Amino acid sequence: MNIHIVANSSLFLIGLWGIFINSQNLLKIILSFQILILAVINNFIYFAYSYQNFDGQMFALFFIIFAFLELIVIFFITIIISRQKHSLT
Amino acid sequence: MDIIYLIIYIPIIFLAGVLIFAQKPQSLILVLGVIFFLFAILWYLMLAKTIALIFLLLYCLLSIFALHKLIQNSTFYKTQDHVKGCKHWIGLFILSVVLIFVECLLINKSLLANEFFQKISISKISDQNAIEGFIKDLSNFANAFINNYLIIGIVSVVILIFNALAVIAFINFIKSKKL
Repeated sequence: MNIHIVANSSLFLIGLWGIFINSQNLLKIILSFQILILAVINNFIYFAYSYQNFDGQMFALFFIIFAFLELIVIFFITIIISRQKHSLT
Repeated sequence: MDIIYLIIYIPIIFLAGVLIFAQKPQSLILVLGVIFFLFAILWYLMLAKTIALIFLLLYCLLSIFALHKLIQNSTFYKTQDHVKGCKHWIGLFILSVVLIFVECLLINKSLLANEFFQKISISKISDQNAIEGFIKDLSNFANAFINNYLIIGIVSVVILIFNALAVIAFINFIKSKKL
């Protein structure tokens, strides 16, 4: 089996697992979500590299921008919740 | 070549596992920074140098935050005076920007001034292979940026120190204002 696909699948599964087991902690959910995103971006870049096509890199670039914008929004929601409840759980 | 990828993937997967179970925020930031750094190396090998450069910058940013967390409780850089703190922050920020600009000029003057900005012009977006051309231009820029190791190394360290000090001064300024 291809090493990249196996590694990306395991990273994706670790991210999913992290979201399920840390469902009480918002910060951990954000970080697990980050691992999921990294696995997906890595897939895009790997396929772009293997097929010698630049479109994959372009998709990855847009995906990074969208993902970080989304993370900023989630981060501020987390701050608001933590200020109201005085905890991240 | 597969062994190199394997050597990079194993620590990434291990650190991803650590990230899920880590408890302290400082260690979370540090582990995430190391994961970004490993991904940057991986993507550099996969010829996605632009994205590798973005993640290297992210790694630098996380290092600054980790550095701030480390220095936060020490008496290394604490400004009590509001105006003094603001002046320090603005001064250091301007100095960092100037240093980045000097770094860019040192790397490749002609690339920065003429070729790079001319290639990514509005007229080219209407071109059929605009996306491919845009990515190639960015890759060329990243190549020029990464291939000058010595200049990058020296000036980046200086910029990183100034940025760290600027961030610390700014955070202290915000804290003193109690926003």
